[in-house]
Amino acid sequence: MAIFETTGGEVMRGKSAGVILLLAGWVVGSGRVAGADPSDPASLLPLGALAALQMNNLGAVVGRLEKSGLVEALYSTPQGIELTKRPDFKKAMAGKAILEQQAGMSAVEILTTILGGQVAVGMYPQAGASQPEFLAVMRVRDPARWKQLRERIEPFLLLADQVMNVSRPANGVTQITVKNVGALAWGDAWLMAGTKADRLPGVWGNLQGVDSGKEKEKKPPFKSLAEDVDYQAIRQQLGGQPVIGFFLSNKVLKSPDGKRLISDKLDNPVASLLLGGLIEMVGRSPYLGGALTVGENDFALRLAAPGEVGKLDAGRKALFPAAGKPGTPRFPAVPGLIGGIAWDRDIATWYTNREALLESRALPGFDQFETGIANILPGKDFATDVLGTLGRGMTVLAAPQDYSYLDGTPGVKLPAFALIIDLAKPKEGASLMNLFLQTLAAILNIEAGQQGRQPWVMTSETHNGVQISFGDYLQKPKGKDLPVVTNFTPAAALVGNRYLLCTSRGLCKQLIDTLAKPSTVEESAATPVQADDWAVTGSRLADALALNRNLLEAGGLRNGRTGKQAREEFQAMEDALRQVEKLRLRSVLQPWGVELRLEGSWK
Amino acid sequence: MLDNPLAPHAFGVGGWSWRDAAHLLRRAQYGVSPDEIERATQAGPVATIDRLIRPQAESAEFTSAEALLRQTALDTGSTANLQAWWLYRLGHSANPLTEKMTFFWHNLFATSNEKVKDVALMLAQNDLFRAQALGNYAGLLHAMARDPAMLIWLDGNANRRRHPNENFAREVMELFSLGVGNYTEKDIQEAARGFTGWHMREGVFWFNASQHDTGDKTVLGVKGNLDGDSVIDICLKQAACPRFIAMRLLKTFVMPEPGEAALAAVSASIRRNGFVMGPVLRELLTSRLFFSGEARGSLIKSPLDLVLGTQRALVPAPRLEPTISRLSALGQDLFLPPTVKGWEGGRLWISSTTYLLRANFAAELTKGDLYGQLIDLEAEARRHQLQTPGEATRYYCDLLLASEPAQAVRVRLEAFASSAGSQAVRDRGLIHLILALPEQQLM
Amino acid sequence: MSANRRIFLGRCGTAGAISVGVSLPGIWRGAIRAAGNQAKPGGRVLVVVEMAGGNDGLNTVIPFTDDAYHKARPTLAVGKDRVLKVTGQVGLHPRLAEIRALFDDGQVAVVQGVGYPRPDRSHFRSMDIWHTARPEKVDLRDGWLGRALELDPRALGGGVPALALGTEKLPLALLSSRVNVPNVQSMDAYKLVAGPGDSSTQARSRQTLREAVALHGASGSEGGAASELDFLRRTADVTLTSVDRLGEVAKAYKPGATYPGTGLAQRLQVVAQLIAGNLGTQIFYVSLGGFDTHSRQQPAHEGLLGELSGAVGAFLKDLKSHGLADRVMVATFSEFGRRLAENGSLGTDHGAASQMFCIGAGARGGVLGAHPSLTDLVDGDPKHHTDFRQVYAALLEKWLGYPSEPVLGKGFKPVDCVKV
Repeated sequence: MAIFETTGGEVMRGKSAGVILLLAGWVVGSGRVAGADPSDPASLLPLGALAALQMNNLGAVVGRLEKSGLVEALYSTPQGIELTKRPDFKKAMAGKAILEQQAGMSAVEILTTILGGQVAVGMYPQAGASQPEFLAVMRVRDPARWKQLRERIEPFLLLADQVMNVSRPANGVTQITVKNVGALAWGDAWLMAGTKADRLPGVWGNLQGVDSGKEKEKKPPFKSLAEDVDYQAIRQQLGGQPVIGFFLSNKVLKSPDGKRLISDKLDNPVASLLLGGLIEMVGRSPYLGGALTVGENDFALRLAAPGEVGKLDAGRKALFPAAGKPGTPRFPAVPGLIGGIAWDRDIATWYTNREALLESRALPGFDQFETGIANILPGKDFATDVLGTLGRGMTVLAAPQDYSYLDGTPGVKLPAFALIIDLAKPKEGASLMNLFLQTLAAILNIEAGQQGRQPWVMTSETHNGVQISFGDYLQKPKGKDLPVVTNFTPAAALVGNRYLLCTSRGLCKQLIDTLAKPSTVEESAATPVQADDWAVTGSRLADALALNRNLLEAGGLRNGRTGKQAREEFQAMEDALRQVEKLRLRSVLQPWGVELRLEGSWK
Repeated sequence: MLDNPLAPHAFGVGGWSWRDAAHLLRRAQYGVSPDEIERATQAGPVATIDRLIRPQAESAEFTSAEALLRQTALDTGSTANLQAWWLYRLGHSANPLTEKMTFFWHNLFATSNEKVKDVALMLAQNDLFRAQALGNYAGLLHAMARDPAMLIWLDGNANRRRHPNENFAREVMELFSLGVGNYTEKDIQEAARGFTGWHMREGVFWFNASQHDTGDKTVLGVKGNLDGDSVIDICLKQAACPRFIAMRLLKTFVMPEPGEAALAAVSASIRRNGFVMGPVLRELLTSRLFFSGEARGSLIKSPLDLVLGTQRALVPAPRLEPTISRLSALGQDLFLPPTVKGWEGGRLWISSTTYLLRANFAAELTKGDLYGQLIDLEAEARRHQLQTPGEATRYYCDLLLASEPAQAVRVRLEAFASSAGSQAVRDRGLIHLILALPEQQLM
Repeated sequence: MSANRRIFLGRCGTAGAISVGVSLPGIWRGAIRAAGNQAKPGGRVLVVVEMAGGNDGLNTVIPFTDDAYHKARPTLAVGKDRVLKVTGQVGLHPRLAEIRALFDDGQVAVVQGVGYPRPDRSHFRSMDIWHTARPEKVDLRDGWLGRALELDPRALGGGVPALALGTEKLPLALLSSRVNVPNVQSMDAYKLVAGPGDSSTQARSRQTLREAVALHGASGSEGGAASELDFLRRTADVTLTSVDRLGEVAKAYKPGATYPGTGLAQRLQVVAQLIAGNLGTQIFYVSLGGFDTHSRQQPAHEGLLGELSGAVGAFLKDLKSHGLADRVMVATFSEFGRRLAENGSLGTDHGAASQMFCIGAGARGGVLGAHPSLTDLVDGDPKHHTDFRQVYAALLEKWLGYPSEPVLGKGFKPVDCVKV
């Protein structure tokens, strides 16, 4: 697990995780603000968008942003300091100050009280240009105050007509055009900005209920994005009123000549096995959507790729749960479970179909791999004899390690890991796995011998009626900074049709106990059908990291920090992690397609 | 002797100058910061060499950070973390000459963790080098024959009574004390017998009496039942021995091709001081030879001198990981010398590939913060009143180059500085350019 | 033409293309003018392809009529009907189609039975022996190509006389205590990174640096610091010039053949690019690893031979389209061959004598020497009849124009694998 590496980079990654949590933190609050306009902001955008983004309760988000320490913190980073020194930034700030002074209220107040706090941004194809154009529209909620505000500000704008052209193209409409940049327009009940000035009149003409003057002949009735069938579908599929929602038309996913931009073959076998199904669904889907929703102490970011999993080719269909099957195995609730990964895959079918899924240059690697495996499992064919014994489910999990088999501790303290393989043919599978384990232990023992370490002695015992094969040291290795490899003493067992391969005998025993009591397994009815499930509990991960506190602080020193800075950085990361109740990423099978869901909850 | 090269340098009319101080510090440590030059200029030559040679107390910050990095190296058993620990010491210790001499011994008794594969043993060997950095070479040579990392490195345990392994005995003469041409193959074979049974057991030296050859041996003309220590003592008595060490000292601290007079003088000093390095270095680093025009700017910087030196002058809190990988690309992985000969250095540091890497290091250092934040150039300009392009060019050339650049180079640098934009942009560009110059590769 | 004279002219011809009129020291400029008067364009180039791991020579050049071969290799022998016959007795492995086509065109010398006395079966030691050309003693100070370069005054002056491409470390063969050979792991990294500032500042900075490094020559003979500085300036000058030239070369180069997507092919394509760009590099070194086929040899070995053949075929075709084929010789070697008898895991173990290929328009096409006997074995291996240093001698003397004796320590009779 990369997070246990002791490089400085990991510390930084930990930090950015903290920032994301903070971000999530005030998005939460913003979701709570009362009185959000229930109407769909997309109704403000014309039909034909390649992509659209909507944000609700924007004012609250900005308000919380301004009040939180985060903006301050961002400004004090090196990049932030650079930014504040830039002339255009200074100008923008000055402009904001003038605006706020004239309006007699803060920009945030304007956003939340006068404007609806909803914004819709659309991306449209631009004829004859490779760049798309953008259009953003806001609806005014308090026209009376909006009118007052405009009356106070507009005179000043007219003074500054050197860089921009201010016009009143229709009654009650003000349009400001900045050459080569775009235009801003507002009317009695709306405010809009676009990168192409020409488009604005067509849109505000409809919103304002007047002729734009340019399309006198016969104005087509205004059709908004809300009438787009794909858009409607995705709204329905994702449901609710998200804090942020986005929509991507399939046109974006295709090149001008109509070809898919996402290649149908990957060149990385691991990526194909992990993500091949999702990538293909995205490549095929007519449109994509996303939604961020926020609750009292949780959030969910959902990305939807509609389509029919059943129509995929065999190799990729194998990467999703079979119809009517429950999907990924649930995580066994072993004491102190830090986190884990669970899959539901028909690996054998994926493997035999690899030529259809992978670029030809990735294929020779499989042959080399098979040759290598044949050295460890002589006389066996990987696809038939090994993969053929596997079932669909596979789980990797991490839990606290006890070092009872050592007289001391390793220098780098890793948690205990377990791999749980669901077997289709438990007997053959388990004997093969045991053979593999024995051979692997023999090979590693040779290396141990060469480096003057103790070998593992393979032995076995029975725990609650289940036989555990495990490696142990004849004499407990002694010392406080034992090599990393002393984190591992392999232990394996077969429980029903599930083969357990653990890095510690203690975890193996706990798993046997847990799996024997199905009631301690998370209730499956409440869980949707999943192909992947990645979960971590923040406070427990923090505990695991804290065991290696010195190493991580040393990472800070190597990164040019002082001892004090390194301590503070570690503390910040640990505190942030401890706030996280749970973080979970999973792919969920829906009646209409697949969904990638990132969920988090905090205390 | 009339013109003894080691006679104390007589500082001329201007006395001990900023430039003299910079020369001494560049050679005695890995690079130098403007503040250090300023302090040394104020303190004078005697106090400065005194500070370099006498042990100085380390700061509390250094002590705790060093301990943490040391423990991390031990915990992870990773060579990269061991390198980080030493780089931190090289950059931050209050005893920079001690660290430079520690490297001197590492380069002489070049042992690689590639084969030893034990960070704790490498660290223990390094601590030994440090303890004797300015101490007694003779003692160190004896200690090396019993050093566990060295025993693994040169196959000590394979050296047995009936099957002597010459690896260590050969290197003791060829690379550790005498140099090629000062012994015969027969001497090596006989010496190897003296080291039979000098083994390692459970991580420590162990005299395996049953494997030690107690017969008579003749090494360099001395006959008797010689053991390892007597072989080493015989080597130390050879006239070639102090000359061998003198040559290494001169090539490391003074000039690439020292003459016979210099060699003889330093060799005599080593003998006179009984192989104790502190007094030898004090003499050498204050000598007229050391301050001669011929010596100044004559050494090609090793990657350590280049990378750490540049950082010491320009990056107050350098990042160690990119530093390690840059040193590695340039060919200097600490604790991983390419062969038992160590890093030969000099012109061998320079090839097309490494020159590009050196120039690109200059660009990366000045462009972003890959190696850490550059000093505040605006503050620097205010402090040193760098207003005109000429003033900036002069200041940064003095700080970063060992010698004044040729007129033709200075003119071009000034022309570049004149055409640059704001002061900070100008100075950043100027520093990059100076760091990429061929002149920058010398010290 | 005397060998030394050929070295001189060969080197200078290509040097002219590096940097005429930019900033070469006076002595070079004079030399280039002298070479410019000669009709002969460009110097000769040797491309060494190392087949690391011990290539199974018996399944590369196959004695298909020999019953002993089929008997010793019940599962691995290549059938008579599948080999690409080149004589009545031997044929090439079916995956060597491109090399067979070159053979038919008279451009491949197959030197059979190459090895050295008392063969060492350790990868490391045997590889060191091939690299140093010193089977008698362990002395890793320098390699055979490094020693050859020391005889070349221009190589001593800096520049890029030889280049290892894609190897992690500089191959021992190219090591020299006096000549620096660059080891370019990737061409992408062989670039001068621009300094800080906007693009015009960067351009001025680069120009200033170019001018500053070109100030060599004036102080070179003074000794001490001045001579070190002169050395640095010369190296920097050649470096920056070659970086610029490489950039131009990359822009100007259009491949004249479709290279396969394999690693070796990609490396040889870069070599072709550099030769076409006239950088003055006379020795290129590339490596293809994975020949240590102890088990399930067949698919892996076939793949590697296919990679070799496809890459070399495309390389020579590309060179031909650029009118450079006459200047380039490819020589292959491996640290040892493999045992005659296959082992119990469908593979072969470390052996001894094997063959070398010399490929190019300058090669004397044909099969040189008899295939070693498969019944007269030492330790289960066919015996060598040609010392590898005889092939080195031919490449040094007849192809590159270096005297071979100072390089190889004593005189070796060159194998007749190069057209004079």
